[in-house]
Amino acid sequence: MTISDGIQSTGTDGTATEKPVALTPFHQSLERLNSRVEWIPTGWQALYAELRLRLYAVFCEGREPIVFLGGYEEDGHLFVETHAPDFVVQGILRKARAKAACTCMECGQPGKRRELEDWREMVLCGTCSAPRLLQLQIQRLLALDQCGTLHDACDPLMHPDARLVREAAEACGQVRKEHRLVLAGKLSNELREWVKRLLAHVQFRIVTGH
Amino acid sequence: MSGCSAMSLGARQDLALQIAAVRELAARMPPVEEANEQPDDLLPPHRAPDSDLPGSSVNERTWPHRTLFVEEELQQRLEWARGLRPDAAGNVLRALERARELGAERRIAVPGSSKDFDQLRASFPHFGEVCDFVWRRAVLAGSAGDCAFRIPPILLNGPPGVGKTEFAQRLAGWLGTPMTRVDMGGLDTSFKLTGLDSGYSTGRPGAIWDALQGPWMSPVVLLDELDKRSNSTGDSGVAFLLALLEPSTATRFEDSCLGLAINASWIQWIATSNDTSSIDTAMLTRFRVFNINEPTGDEGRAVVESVFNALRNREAWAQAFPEQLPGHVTRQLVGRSAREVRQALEEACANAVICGRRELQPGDVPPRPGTGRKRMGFTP
Repeated sequence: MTISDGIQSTGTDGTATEKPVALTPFHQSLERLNSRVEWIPTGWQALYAELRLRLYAVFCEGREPIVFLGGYEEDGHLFVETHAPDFVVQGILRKARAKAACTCMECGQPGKRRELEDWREMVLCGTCSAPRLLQLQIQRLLALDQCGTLHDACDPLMHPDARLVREAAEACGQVRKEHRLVLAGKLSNELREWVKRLLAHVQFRIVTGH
Repeated sequence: MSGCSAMSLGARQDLALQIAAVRELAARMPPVEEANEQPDDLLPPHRAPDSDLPGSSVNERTWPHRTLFVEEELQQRLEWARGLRPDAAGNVLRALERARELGAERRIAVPGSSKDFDQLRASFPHFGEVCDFVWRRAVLAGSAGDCAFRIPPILLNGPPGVGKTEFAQRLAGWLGTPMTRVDMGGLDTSFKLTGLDSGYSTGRPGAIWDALQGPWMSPVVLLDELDKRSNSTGDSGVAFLLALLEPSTATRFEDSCLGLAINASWIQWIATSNDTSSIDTAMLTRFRVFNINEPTGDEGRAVVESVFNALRNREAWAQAFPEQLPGHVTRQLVGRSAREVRQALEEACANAVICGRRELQPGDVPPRPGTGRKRMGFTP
């Protein structure tokens, strides 16, 4: 969605001519929002396109001086705002931000904000968040295992913070129903190695998306 | 984990999506090409190999163990039994020899998988309070080193056919322990539980001793129909049950036939009843009482589906029917007790087969008992 720099008009002889017209601040801002499409996560592309379409639709002479700021994602928030006291434009931006707060940044399905590694927040659905949450749980499990305090802090058998690790272990047949993951505060050597392999697999999946 | 009933529907759906994605991710993990066992020199120097941990064999270290009896006391009882009359020594010697072969160390149950518990909870939605209680105790047990788990005595009180006995069996299955059922309605003496002295010709160990003669020290003992115990002789084993239900007194339980003190404090007692008013107060205070109501609404639908699935798993003829019950058939069955649902489904399947169908229709389901047309006329 682009705007031509000029306006095409028809001359007295019937030929089309172009007159150079200066872009208004409104349109310049929209051009900037357009150029930042790549900064927006894939799951938000649809709502970002809808936001720009709505802004184009409400353009009028009285809104020419309006300037839009932002057009990027940071820490799970969509930053698009304006200082203009225009209720309609403010409403469009507010609704876009609210919709982004409950839309998965990766797949566009309904999601919620989650805290991930390094306190980074992302809006993700259950499916897309699973690899990252699993990575966090494994890292925590290995850290507690190294301290030898697994049974004091949490037992992966029962604790909700290690639920995904348990599910992954059962899916691979690594742990049967009668097995426990913890013995005397430590993982077994075999299980520890398997957990590390799982961590590498999950991290590869996160990076490559495959 | 799964079990918190305070999770909203959205949170549960979110967790289900996460679990499905994780399971798919784990299933795609490439297998290890190298040998599974790694040489010790690859282990960190501060990490001792598993063989140094207590109970180092693969099977043994998965279960916590406790001592059922003292070896010296068993030897004393064996010597005593060999001095009995031949007709009296038979049962006693056999029981004591078997106990010696199994050894003094026995397994204690640990909680099963969270996935299986979710299925149990879904199959018995009207037992939500009991499930929450068991789950909290399981989490508590999991916070300790060896996760040894014991359900405190619980009493499931509810109308007939609501699924109390079936739930107890499924719970024992989740724990992976055997279950012994004691019909309290037919229990006229205490001998069946606590054994009969070997001086009698029919003297033999009781059900408590038999339940502990296996690899498990924490079997589930189901006291069915606790409110129906016979009062004909005035001695129905209640006094001994009172001692067995308290862990402090149950650690030194002696079977009347064998006289060997065993630790019966890890037995998991589940009792069922229809009316708690006919149960002694002393007995009632030793149980955590849960009132089970008839399932309603969504619970009723879940119970109907659960009963149908159990029927398909148990009966070969039921597997010929589709896995999913038609919605109009399910609606007809909602509101009945689990027993009535099972009976109605069996009847409905028979009606369908007689008509040459393998699919249930609403007309196949018999009416609920007691809902027939009333006769007109003067009532006596």
